[in-house]
Amino acid sequence: MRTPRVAAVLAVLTGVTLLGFGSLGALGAPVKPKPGGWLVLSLGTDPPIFDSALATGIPNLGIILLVSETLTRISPGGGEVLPALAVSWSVSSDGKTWTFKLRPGVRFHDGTPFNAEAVKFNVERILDPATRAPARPAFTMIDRVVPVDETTVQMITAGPFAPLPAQLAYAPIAMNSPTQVKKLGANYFTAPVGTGPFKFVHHQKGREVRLVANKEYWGGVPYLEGVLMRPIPETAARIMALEAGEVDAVYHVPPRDAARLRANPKFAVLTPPPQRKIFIGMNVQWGPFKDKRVRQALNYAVDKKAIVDKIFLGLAKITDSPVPHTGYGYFPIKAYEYNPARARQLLAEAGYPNGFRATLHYGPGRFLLDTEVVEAVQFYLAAVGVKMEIIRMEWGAYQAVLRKSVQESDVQMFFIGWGLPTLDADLAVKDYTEEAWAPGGLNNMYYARDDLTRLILAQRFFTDSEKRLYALRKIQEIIMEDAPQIFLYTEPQIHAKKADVKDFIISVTEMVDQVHRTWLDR
Amino acid sequence: MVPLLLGVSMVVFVLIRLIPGDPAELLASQWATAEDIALVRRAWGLDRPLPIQYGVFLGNLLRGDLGRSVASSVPVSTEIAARYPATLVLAVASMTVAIGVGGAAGIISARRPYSWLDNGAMVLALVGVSAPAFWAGLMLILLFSVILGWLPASGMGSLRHLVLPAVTLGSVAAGVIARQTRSSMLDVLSQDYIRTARSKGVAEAAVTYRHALKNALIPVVTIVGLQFGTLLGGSVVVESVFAWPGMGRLLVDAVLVRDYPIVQAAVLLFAATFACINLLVDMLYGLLDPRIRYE
Repeated sequence: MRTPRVAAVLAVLTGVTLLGFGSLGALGAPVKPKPGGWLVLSLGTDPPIFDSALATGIPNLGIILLVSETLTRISPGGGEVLPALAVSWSVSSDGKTWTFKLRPGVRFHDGTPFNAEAVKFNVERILDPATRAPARPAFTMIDRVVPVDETTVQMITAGPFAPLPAQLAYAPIAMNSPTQVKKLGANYFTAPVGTGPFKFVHHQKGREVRLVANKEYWGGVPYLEGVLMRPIPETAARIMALEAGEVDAVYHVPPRDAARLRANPKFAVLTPPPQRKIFIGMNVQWGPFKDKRVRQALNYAVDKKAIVDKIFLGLAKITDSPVPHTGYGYFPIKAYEYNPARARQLLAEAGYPNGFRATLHYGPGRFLLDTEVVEAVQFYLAAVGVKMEIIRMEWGAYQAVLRKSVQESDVQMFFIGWGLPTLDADLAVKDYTEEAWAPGGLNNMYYARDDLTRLILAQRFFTDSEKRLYALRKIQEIIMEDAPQIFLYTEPQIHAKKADVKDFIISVTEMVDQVHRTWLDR
Repeated sequence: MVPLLLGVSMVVFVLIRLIPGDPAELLASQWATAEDIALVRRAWGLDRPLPIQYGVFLGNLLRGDLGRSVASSVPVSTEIAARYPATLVLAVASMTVAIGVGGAAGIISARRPYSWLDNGAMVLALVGVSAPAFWAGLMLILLFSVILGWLPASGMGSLRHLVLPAVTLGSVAAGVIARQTRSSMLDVLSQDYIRTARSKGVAEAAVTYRHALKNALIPVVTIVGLQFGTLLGGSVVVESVFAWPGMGRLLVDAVLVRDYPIVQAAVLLFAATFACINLLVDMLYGLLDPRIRYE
């Protein structure tokens, strides 16, 4: 079920590894996976709680998904919704009733059958405000769940919502054993039970998560004996733990360390396709940014290629649409090329031949190499006369500044990234409406226009994919043309592993994927 | 101690709420609307007036209920019970390193003042005090784990896991203790009764350890008590570098998402620990110098 792109990447990585060991003869020959061994994985963070409905944070949720699975899954390369606990689905002609066929014969680790009732239980649990599920708002379009028979379940949405199957791949709506949830109540996190390839052993907060192989897994018995996840918050220490041989794979490697690890045949660097758009938003209700020409000028003024090449060593992708290239519904619209002369000309046309002053808010440390990027942008804007003053804030205080209405806001420019965990364009464009203006949503550009809003609402109604893709394309064209942001790049995913860890996939969702197929060549 | 802790609880309660941002905003998902955020605020009682929130917190505290973490929904007592022992183990180990190394260096220096041994020890003490724990920790991992492969780079488990974090965290306190021990010892060694002891032929070792050290210890013990506070604070950085599952990391993460219940409980526990240590120090004074009596 792997997409060709990931398979190709894996093939290249395997090839590089083999070359490193000088065993050229093995190239091309099918390698038989060896069973056994523990995979020790290190993330920068720890799941806050081992309960899919209550946990937050990616990639943490990926560890929880090894135990509890979702109805659908996103293809590791993005763009496609694949079957998981649901094998197929269809939607009624009014677009409001979805029928899911469930995988037959699947049982939770405690023996409870996975069936339509279990789906109903889990959806209702996350929607119940008393559960206090942080991701509840992602699923409130589901009005009710109706079990039809053991392996058929219907979900009725309040209005048509075409991206529902992608939404159901989002980790918080993973399936947990109703028996166990009812038995343990608020303490469910101490002994979670799912249908996944691994069973929960223990979670010692800040120390380790221990999972053991589920020999009855419906997708095949895992090769690994188990998975151990050790959170190491400090990036340099995490990479040294890999180099010291204590862990088999680490998340989030800075580009410079990646270059060093790549030169060592004992390690392999993973660069799965990314999905987080990084941009600088402009408050289009403020001063010069009211004029589209100014906003376009700033896009022309920044040399994205230099940023990608020099800061990310070529590992990031320049933005050419508000939807990441891995998302369903993405169209390459246009990237604003580096053209300072054009920028100056547009600024002059808009009445700012000598530029202007503006502030930029941001919360350093949240996104990869954010400070370096912000300072580079400051330099490029200064070159066309726009003096950008950088206001650094602690992340929480920065969020408080952003959660303000247009009347109260004193934000002119802001640096941020938007993730796309469902890999569906809907989530990437939903905030370009007036309804999503802060504090009600994430639209701190306070940008909206009626035709765009209508298109954004309409695409959710089109269960016919051709119509929907057409609407999504129009949406992306309008946003790129209006330029409410300085479009920068898609943040690269860079991870590393020991070379003898085979078939280890980190998905476009930033979560580990198909770990039951992972094996250790030692 | 009770009024002290009450004061601490009130200050922390107000301060953490004065920082802009609240957990309902910070934990909101991409789909959350203003109503969703208001719903979360109501669910956690964050929409109520501050004095009422404090009253509820205090009432629950007296019944031994610390509430649940807003960020994780895990009971605060569970979170803290899992991490407090780790921090205490690290703090005690670091203090042992600090007293052992710092005390020995101080005594050696004082016995041969201005010798190369003294100068060397004092330079090392200065390095210990000045080197940022963050940097020192990474350098130790690089040397002892990556290059030499002698000790584990991170995590908690065997005694070997404890060595690098304890040395890193203890080195600051060791430097301070070495310098205090040296100056305090030099002070005592120049007293008349030491000259008397030496002139009546008492062995030099006995002069140093029986006559001088005991009297020189009072200011050192004070410093040790105070350094314990620095240690608890420094654990925040060291725990991050060594992935040590202690309270420091928990507290930082909690502050970042404004997880009020965790912050309150953690700071209160830090304060209580520090108060207990200083109570112990006060009692030690009495043992070291029988003239000090508490009525």
